[in-house]
Amino acid sequence: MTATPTAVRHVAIAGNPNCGKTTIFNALTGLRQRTGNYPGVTVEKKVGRFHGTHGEPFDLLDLPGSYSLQVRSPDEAVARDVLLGRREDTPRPDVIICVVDASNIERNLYLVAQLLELGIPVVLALNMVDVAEQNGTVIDLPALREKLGVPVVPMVATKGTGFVELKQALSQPIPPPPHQAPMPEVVEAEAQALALKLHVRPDAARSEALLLLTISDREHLAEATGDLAAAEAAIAARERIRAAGLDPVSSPIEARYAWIQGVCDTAVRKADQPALSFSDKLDGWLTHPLWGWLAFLGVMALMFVCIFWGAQGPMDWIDGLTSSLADWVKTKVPDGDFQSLLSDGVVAGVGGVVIFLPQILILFFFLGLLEDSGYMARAAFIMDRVMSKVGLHGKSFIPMLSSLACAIPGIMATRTIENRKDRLVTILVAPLMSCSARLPVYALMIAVLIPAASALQKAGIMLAMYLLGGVAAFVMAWIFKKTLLKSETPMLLLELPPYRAPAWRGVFLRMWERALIFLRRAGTVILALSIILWALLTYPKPTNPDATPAEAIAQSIGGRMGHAIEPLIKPLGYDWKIGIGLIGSFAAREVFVGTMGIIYNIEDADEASEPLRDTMIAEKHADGRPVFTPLVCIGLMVFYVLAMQCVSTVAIVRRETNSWRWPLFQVAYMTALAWLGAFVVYQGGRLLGLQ
Amino acid sequence: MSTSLDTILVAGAILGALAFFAARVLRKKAGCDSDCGCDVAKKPLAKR
Repeated sequence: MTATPTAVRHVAIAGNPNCGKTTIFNALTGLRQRTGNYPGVTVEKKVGRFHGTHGEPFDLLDLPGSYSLQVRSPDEAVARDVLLGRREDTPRPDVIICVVDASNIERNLYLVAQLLELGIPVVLALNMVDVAEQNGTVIDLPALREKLGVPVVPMVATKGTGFVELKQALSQPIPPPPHQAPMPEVVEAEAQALALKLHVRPDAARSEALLLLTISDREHLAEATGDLAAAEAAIAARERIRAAGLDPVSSPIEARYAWIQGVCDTAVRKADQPALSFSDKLDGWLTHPLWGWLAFLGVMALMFVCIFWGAQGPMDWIDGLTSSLADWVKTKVPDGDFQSLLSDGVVAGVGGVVIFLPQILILFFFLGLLEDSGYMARAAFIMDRVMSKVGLHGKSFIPMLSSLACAIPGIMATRTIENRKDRLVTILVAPLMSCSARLPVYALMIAVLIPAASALQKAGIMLAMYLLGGVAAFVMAWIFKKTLLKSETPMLLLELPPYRAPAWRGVFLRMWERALIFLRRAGTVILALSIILWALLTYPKPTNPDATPAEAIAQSIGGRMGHAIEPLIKPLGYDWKIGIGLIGSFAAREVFVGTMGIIYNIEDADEASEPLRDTMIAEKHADGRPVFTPLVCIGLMVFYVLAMQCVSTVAIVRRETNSWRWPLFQVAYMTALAWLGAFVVYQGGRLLGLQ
Repeated sequence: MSTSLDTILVAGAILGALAFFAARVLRKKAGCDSDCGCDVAKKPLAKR
């Protein structure tokens, strides 16, 4: 006999952006969460499992942040579609946890008003009550509960308070909301009549009808209803509302705001003269035209110093481990090609990339910290002054900041940009921002350039490379806005959330996720590429058995490929071995480091393993000149700042723009720019008498 | 190690790596996965 499993209830977390939704989601689900995409759209879908106070299972869905169900971006459209039960891939939630920022309660209540209209049981998570209290806002909880007719749980999610009460509220039977914002009589009558004509879920029909009444365009209406008769009925209903002297778009909105005013008059009391909050005072400095910039550069510099300083120990440890592993393979596996494949291909290729895990973790620690504390929005705000000069607005800077982690989420974040041309410009320049995959290449080249540099010097060079990427992105955006994608400079409307202490659990959870992604990539893509690169650099074997390892590589397939592109890269000061690195890393930048590891390991197969950096410093041309001169090292870094070298980004641009035209154009312009940048560094430096 | 075992092991590793990339191309053609881990399933939107 088997026990009947308890039915899993589907719970969705909805709320405005920056209200603490994701913090609550992470705290409830912990590591039991999966991140994917909603089929057909590039909107992230996060689901996780947690258990109620009686052990009953809940599947929790973190909906994209939205201000209302009248959507303005694909993210908001997904939230609306899930709540209305329109998506076949996601069940309509049984309960909604509506997260409300208590310090901004009036604005947040607009979404609450719309959620109450859906007929789905709602639990209101009143988050950040501590911030509201500091601002002098007093919320009468029993009055709020009575006015809304739903359970209200006060919370401070970042401090972990309110979760027990939230789980208790979810474990109780929750009836559908009894109250909702009353609509003007004619609007209500038309909505009810229209609801009967829609082929949608009966429990969502009134909400659907109210949304349809706000759409004025016939084409959009036909698309939204999928039914010409329903679209015509909506148009006729709009006309009748207009004939009654009301605006079909603004009257439901005004009705909701009037209701919110009533709720707030009863349940919310604000200090007469709101004192200047800590956030306001801090913003006086951090968004100041001069101090704001200095603070921004200071924060970035601190981040890079910590990346070098903090990562050194763990990196040395991983390096030691890799060398020992290569030596162990050489003693345990008999001599032959398989031994070379394992020690010179797999261990050198994968180990060469894995060594940079500590630096990438520190980068993500800082990015998480900046985002959670609310500083990212300030960075976008001060950047708006620069962005508007190139014809974009601060909203374009948020995808560019995300691209510091990886261009893929950065490009996906451009969906919040309403203007198509501005969005395209942002997609075209976002990969110029230095992503985490470039970090290994920069770190290796800096180590070869100045082996004895202090953490501060290394951070300075690294910061310069990141700034170069940013400047290149601005210049290219300006060029595109003036030529290919001309349009007006948009206005910036940006919410500056109050500063708050980061949710450490969330920050560490994100670092853990990134570590898993990085290691999975190293164990799959990088591993497979390392094996193929090793084969290309080993076969065919030289006919002369006395050939030196260098001669053997030169006549391998990889060596011949390197030689074939040598005329193209010679003006940049690169030899054919660097050429192999450029070809090998076309699909993924960090493979450059692995390829260098494989090339020099095969060459020095007879010697004891030594750090790649030292091998590269000692590398000489046939005439005895060093290969990696300062100009070559800087030129290579500049090349990697500007070059595309990432197949995943090409694929995502193809999907986001729905054509091959833009990704191919992007690869072409970035490769040309990279070549030109490296050419200017090398040849310009030589003209100035540098090496 | 005998020459033939050495050859078999190396050929197996190379074929395995090539098969890995071929499988990725096929999966991408079927509309799923990106190696960044940022997105997973991308089947066409179900017709409503």
